[in-house]
Amino acid sequence: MSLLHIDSITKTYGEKRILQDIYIRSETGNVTGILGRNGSGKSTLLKIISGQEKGDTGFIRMDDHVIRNQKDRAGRIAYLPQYSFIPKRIKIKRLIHLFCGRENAERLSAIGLIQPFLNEVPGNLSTGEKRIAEALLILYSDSRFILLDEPFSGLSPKVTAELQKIIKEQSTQKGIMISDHHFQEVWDVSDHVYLMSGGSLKPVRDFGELQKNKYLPESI
Amino acid sequence: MIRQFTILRIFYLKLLIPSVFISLLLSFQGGFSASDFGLCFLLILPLLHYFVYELRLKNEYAFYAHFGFSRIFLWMLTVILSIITNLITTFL
Repeated sequence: MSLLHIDSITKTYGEKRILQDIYIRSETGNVTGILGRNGSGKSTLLKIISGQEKGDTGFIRMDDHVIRNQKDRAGRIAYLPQYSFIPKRIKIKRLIHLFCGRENAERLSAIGLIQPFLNEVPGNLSTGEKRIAEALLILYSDSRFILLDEPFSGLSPKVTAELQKIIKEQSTQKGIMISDHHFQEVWDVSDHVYLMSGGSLKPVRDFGELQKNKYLPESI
Repeated sequence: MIRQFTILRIFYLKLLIPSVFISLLLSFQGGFSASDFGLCFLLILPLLHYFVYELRLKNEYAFYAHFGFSRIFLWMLTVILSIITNLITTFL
């Protein structure tokens, strides 16, 4: 079992403190869901963990290895940003071999969701198709910990269900953190769910707590 | 190691070919010399890096970061590459 330990993350934009002394951990074999209102700091937290943004303070450790820079993250932490990030002129099948080792590349290439795109370049895919390809590349990459920022956005219900199944399968060997506004999908796939509110993370056990914290309307 | 090299090749393919081409064009303006080419390359490569990756394809930094190449590292590499090319062409 591997453990990703994230401690004392703070982030301030101007006068506004977005993240306040955040502590969260992820274990291989677990999916951790992060919910929160727009602008609550979910994406900022994932960006800081992935090294895309610098926190004011913070400490990240994977097992006995302190993560200090981008080189330390390579092969350990993989991050799916909200936006499309893969180069537009490289074929998907070539990208698979860049992101994945031989075994994972074979497994990923056999998945029905990605097979229609294998000989395509991302520039020729629709936004949703690109999202599927990128999510799968990250999920099947060799990294032990996977950070998914809005993986379900723009996906049809059927594809969302298939992606949920893949997330669950991959979580047997990996630690996965998901942030998305599709709260039901995040809830279904997660072992632990946290709500980001007022700059801190609160563990939540049921929808009632989400309503109490004004994330969900009373009518749900 | 081969994978890292491939990633850098993908990154610089968009920069090196146009940089060499533009530098050649500019250095031919006043009669070609290797040192003129080196000087043009010293300026053009970082300029193209800025236009291509800071303005047009900023999102792709996340792709290179996945393989351990941070934005700062890539900028340092661009500056070092252009300085080394300039030094080599100065002594040619």
